[in-house]
Amino acid sequence: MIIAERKPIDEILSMIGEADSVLVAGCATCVADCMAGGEREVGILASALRIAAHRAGKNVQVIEATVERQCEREFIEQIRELVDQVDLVISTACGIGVQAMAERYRNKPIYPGVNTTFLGLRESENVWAERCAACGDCTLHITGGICPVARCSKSLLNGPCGGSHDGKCEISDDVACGWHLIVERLETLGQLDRLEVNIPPKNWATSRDGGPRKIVKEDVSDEERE
Amino acid sequence: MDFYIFACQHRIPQEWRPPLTPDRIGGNSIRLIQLPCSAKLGTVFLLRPFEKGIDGVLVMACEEKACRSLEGSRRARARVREANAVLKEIGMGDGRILIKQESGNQQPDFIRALEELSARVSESGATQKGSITQ
Repeated sequence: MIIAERKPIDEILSMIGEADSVLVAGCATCVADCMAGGEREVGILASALRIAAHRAGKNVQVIEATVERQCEREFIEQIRELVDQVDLVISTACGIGVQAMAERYRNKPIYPGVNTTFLGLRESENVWAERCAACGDCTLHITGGICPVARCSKSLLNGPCGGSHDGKCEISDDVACGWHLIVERLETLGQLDRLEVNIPPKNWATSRDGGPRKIVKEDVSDEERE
Repeated sequence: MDFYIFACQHRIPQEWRPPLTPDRIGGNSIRLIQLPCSAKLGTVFLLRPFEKGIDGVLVMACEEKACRSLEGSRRARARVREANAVLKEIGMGDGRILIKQESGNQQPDFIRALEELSARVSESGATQKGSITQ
């Protein structure tokens, strides 16, 4: 899922500036799961903004709403009435949700309430970690289901490097060496021979290096709707 | 000072149970709210009273090992920590929400806890009064 972190309240207050009314709009999918921008966090942020604004001597109306997914227009359309009521929207969805809202409500300022950070999963109760770099050219079948792009600090395709020690990365003892994990996993699978295969240089054009990406699926298009 | 008290039903003194809930304790204005378990207490419920300009919140929970809902008191402690962090971030000091995880349901427990909370709040400074809930 997409992992995000709430922005500092001071930063959000500076975005609000002199606005008289604000909608804090949450998303009940990824950002709810990583406890950054779901209904629960929207309530906390809205309450904090009301208290902070009051302490600053401002009278700001803060209303709250959370939709199932802010990245889909069917869901964000449901809060049109609330969006129309306010001066601006603080969206606690990921960057995709913020932009979906901005595309849908073109005349309304839509500002981010969270920093969208990475694609990952929950490792324990309060820890989320990166797992996928969305590079567009997956090699997980060769690397034991562990991504060298996201989990090796250098994104090496043929590792480990000389900085690996005791299963840790040279950048920090808190970071596991991605290639150590790959070797361990391949050993468990009885597929260590895969390490003998040299992974060729990656075509980074499928990643961010190729500019904004788009997928068009002609076979699922509905000509009558176009 | 103005305080909200959220208390697990097992911690409220018999003579203070609804509808006999007092509105003043030890010179402080009080709103005492009985919970089926402190686990019911979401973080936002700890913050919302501050929108009304109150000075502090006291949470009377059971001992963690004695919680009849198993994890209720532990969860309440985590939410108090989170709410205090939010209040600190907006400049209201650290500690306007106090949780007491003890056994018993005696009035002196509440009075002692309120005294401790009053002292903490005094350190953090007065709260701006007046409801701001929209």
